[in-house]
Amino acid sequence: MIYCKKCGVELDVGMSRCPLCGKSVSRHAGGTAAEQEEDDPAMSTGHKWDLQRIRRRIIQAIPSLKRIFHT
Amino acid sequence: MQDDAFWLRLDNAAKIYPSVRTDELTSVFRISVLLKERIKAKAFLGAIQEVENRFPYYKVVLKPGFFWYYLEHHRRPIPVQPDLDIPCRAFDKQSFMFRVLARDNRISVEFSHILTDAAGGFEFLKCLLRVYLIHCGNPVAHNIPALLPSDEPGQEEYEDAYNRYFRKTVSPRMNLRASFHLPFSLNRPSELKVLTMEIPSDQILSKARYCGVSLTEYLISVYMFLLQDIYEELPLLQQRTNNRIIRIEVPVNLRNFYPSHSMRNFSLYVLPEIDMRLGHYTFEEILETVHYLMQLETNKKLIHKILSRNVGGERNLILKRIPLFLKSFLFNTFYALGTSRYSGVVTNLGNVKLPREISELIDKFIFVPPPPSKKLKVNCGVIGFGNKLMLCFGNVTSSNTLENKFGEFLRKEGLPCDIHAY
Repeated sequence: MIYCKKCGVELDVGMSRCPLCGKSVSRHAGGTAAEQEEDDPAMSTGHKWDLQRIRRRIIQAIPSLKRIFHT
Repeated sequence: MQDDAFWLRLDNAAKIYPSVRTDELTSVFRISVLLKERIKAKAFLGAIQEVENRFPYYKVVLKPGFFWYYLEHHRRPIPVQPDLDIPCRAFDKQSFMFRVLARDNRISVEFSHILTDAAGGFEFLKCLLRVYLIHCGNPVAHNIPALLPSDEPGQEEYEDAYNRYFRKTVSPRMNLRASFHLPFSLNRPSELKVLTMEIPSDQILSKARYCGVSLTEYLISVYMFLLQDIYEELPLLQQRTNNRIIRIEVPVNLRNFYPSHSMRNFSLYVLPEIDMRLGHYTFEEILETVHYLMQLETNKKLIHKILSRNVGGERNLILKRIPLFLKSFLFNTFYALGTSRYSGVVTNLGNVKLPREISELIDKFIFVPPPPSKKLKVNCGVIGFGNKLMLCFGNVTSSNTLENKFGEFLRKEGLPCDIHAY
């Protein structure tokens, strides 16, 4: 069985990319699992969300930083 | 209405959400099904494609009009995503207000309350699950009682059932006092934490029956008892400054009262309460109070009164003619007032009944309620399947006290429960 290491869904033998998260896959020597190689920039929503979450945290931290460093 | 281009008015329950929703208060709920095997990507995407045109009333985008928001149909595909982030995230303004997610052995659907309630969302999930299992080569899935993708969506599925069953009646305004709220500090940065609790259904059901109440009444009573416990642990000064009414919001599926096939919102809330000014309540006293209040408030005549009051407000001639930007301001105020009236939410989607042979393919269902407001802080969704009752706590505070107390209480009552992060 081949499955995407990122979102964990089962892939068909012929699939070169996970159709759900867009991660490209290659088989391990054992041929049982798929691993991530590179991102498809158009499809990697997970990566985009990570960046959005970091950005949100930074933005949310700015008011408290201002409060701390106010003169 | 089934033409390619159509628009819909928001239903009565949905009207408030566009004005109050934020990135944190998303009004998005999630229903997940965990299968016993990994999700097969090809079959999953095939199933999505097959149900693509079955639910046109969900393939809509929210648009502001001059007096009200409305829903505009679009012919985009159903949004499918890997399930890698926190649940119940907000939707972008121009996107559909539902999504389908998959990860490992879990299929989830997320809906904004602007579109539908949990009962409508669950019908969508059942239909998708049925088609997916058939695509995976399980002919027994034909026995799942669900809407068929080959059927034309009925006219009734589109309708605002509140307006259909509205009859002008005596429905005076309720004046409820503000209630007690959990004293915990909020998460910084604000983020929803979700904990699930698995309890054997048979054991908790026999416990509830032994107490002479329904399962929902039992869970509400435990919730109230623990809120009282948290209140009583507060320093005296804090106790005096806090409101001393514990009131729980319990959604009621109106499809059980009216013969409606609406796939949009069709639920109301009842609000059982205890008044701590009258002294400490034992658990047995709370059980009794909740049982009788629930019996009383779910009487069809009283339900009809609440329905009439809600729809009557929407039909108010003055409110109708107020421009949207002013309405949004008013709705925000009403919503803040509304959430100050109850201390918690317990929403029970009920017991999922599927044929026995299907049950062998499914592990459990999980119902994640919409993120609680900053005032409410914690809420609880309940769903049962087979012998697994899943409680799901949404929490925006830095404390898990309520969930831990819930687990401890159930264990003391002899009910085993496993707590996991979602």
